[in-house]
Amino acid sequence: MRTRAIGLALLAAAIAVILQTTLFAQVRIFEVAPDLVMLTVIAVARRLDAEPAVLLGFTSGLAMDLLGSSPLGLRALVLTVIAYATVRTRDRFDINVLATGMAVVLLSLLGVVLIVVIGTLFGEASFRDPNVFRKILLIPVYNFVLAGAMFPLSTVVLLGRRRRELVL
Amino acid sequence: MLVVLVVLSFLLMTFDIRASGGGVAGTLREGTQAVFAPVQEFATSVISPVVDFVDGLANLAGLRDENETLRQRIAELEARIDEVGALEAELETLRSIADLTLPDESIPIKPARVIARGDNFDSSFTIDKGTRDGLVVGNPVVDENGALVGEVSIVTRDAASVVPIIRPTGAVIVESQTGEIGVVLGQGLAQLIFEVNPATEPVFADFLLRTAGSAKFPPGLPVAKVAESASPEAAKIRTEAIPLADFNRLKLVVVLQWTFSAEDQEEEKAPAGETPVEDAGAETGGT
Repeated sequence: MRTRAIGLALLAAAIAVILQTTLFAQVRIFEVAPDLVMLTVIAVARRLDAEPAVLLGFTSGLAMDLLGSSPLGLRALVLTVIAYATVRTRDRFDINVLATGMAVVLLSLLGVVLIVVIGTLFGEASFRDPNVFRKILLIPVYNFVLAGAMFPLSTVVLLGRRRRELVL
Repeated sequence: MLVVLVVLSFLLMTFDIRASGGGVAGTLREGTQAVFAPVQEFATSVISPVVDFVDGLANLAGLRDENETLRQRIAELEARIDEVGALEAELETLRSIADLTLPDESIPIKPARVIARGDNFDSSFTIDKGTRDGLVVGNPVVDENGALVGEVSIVTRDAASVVPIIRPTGAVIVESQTGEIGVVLGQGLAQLIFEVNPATEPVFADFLLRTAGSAKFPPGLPVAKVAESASPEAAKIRTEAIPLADFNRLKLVVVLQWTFSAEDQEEEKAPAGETPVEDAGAETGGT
């Protein structure tokens, strides 16, 4: 069961990486796209043990780094931290829909701010982007909206039909 | 586990920056791209018509007051028009590429389609041409109007990664309309910094900046326009420039199958007898 969940989580991350670099390269509202990979890591880390969760965050981030041109390890680091933060806080935000939504917004905000700050430290100059604050604000909002579909789906897929009652 | 992964991430970033995108990191990137590029290409070919269709429907918001049948009919027609419009736009771009006149017409060109992009904080993109089409690392990339976009940084058999000149680590040696040589520096967004040092002549807004010829790019390619006039201060000019290429809307690009050779440099030196461009080796399109 555990191996199956990890395999499905990796598959979900791979699909998220492909959609992020293709679909969301074209679909940008106010010039900003959701961070589907980050959202997938948050959604999946809620249902995995701590170690597979942070490894999934690292792997997903590394895949994005390898497909882009920013410093190798930047997104790996950020998504590792996000996965860890999700694992540490999931008991608190799994209380109800509102708490879960707030958690998605806060975790996404943390992730985006980390990408900008650490990226800047490693020469990415993200703060010079005039749209940086729009991105910091909109990505968590978009992730919040997408979480409405992503979270129930990830719960059903990872825990199986028996756990449909836990979709939220 | 967390500490190990965090330390590993920092090590990767440090090694990647020190290797300027080459070395093991470059090999890893090539391998990953070789795996993902066919899937990304397939996904783009499936997603693009859907996105165009949804765009078409979204444009119909103003017709809500009309009756349902008419709305649906209009929606269909609008969607078709949008599809045709998108095709016409693509055709127009292809025509522009076919009519593209480069400063050096002997350079072979290879049109390519953008099949994937980085996320919100990564301006690099992937094209559907690779070593199979004769591309090599360092090939300059221009848009359909010949404006410099960037350079090929990673090539696999079927795809290649392009690092745009707007990357913060990007630098292009350019010649302004006054004939003075300067450098255009990427800022990580659709804006560049133009520096001339030493400078004797003022530059004015809308001055065209072209590549000056260096180890990275052939001479004469349009790069940017000066955004604000500036005069030399302490024999130095630093002002803003706007890139000619629209990096947010690139769907088709042209790869120039050009790489620097010592012979080119000799040819450039010999007839004019001018001082060669300094720091040519320091120019970079970024990691």
